[in-house]
Amino acid sequence: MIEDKVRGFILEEFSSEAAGTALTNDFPLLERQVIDSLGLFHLVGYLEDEFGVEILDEELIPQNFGTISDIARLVREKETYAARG
Amino acid sequence: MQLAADDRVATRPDGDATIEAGFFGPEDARLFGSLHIPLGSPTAGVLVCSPLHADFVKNYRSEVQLARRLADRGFAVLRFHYRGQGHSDREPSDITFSSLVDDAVLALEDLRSRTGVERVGFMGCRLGGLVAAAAASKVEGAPLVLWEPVVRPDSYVREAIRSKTISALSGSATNGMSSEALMRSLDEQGSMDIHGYPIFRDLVRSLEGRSLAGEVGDEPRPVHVIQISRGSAIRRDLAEVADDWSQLGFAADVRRVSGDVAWWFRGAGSAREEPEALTNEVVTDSADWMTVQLESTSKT
Repeated sequence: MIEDKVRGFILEEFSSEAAGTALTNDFPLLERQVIDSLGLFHLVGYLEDEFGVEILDEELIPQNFGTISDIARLVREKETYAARG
Repeated sequence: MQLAADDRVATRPDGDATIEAGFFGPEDARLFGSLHIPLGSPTAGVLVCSPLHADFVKNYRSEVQLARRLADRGFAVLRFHYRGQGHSDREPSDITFSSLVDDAVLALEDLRSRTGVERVGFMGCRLGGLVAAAAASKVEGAPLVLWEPVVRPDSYVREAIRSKTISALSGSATNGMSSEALMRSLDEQGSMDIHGYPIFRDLVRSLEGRSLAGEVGDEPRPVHVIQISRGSAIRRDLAEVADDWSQLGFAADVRRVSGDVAWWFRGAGSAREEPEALTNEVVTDSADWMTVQLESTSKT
């Protein structure tokens, strides 16, 4: 699942920030500062690399990166859009 | 500091080594360089090709440390500023990819003529990796160390814009221009501002269509790539280019060093960084690798 892959990336990449948190799908990543600016930069690169999607700059908004569910939804939307050609 | 016979150069001791800092190249377009000269005759030389923009500042300390480490091992090392950068002549708007490579080649000639070394290796970081690759391709078999190299320059420009967008998102940017507005500024005004660093149109245009693999060329040589990341996976673009090189007969590898460098970001992520430990590991690894390469070939 996309959620599990994203969670795995966050746990490895942001292990100290995520320590002691229950990294559920609806955990507020930005609000609780698990992911900062640099982290978001790395996360976007990971999503493009891992899922073969292109994240546009206008999609870099909190609604798309607030939680793991938000991120997974964005990736699914991008995959669906790409599949339609 | 003591002025040498050539008053364009000043020298000072640096441990057992000496640093000659000064200008070289044509009078109307001088480049500034710092040449680390080891005690005794240098056995080989290393040219350091710096990154540009915010990356230059981030990497400066590591380059100095690497040069010192290599000089301690008997190698002459030249660090230099490209035209339009640092102390060198000309303007930042004069920089293109070709000018960067020309400057590196001129620096290589200066390194060789002032120290007498024949055998040389190259080190490049980020966009400087592309420059080092292009310069190394002109020297048969020259070993190449690349720190966090830019594999495709179009992604470098895109990352620059993205870093600004993300900074605006977190409220730390001073100017929240959209990516479209930045590209429009690049097209119409000839530059765009990324965290206070102007990126000029001529440079961006000159990078289009280039790639790290293309600049290195097909002639096999030792290449050692260092990826800095907290995650353990080797990035796909680095893994792919290393695989391609291996198939061409290169002795190529990618080594991950655990850490985090906030390329492009001004101060962001600083709490996540351990700059001294990271610098030491990257420098030690690179110096060890380069020493093996230069000593093994200088004995043959």
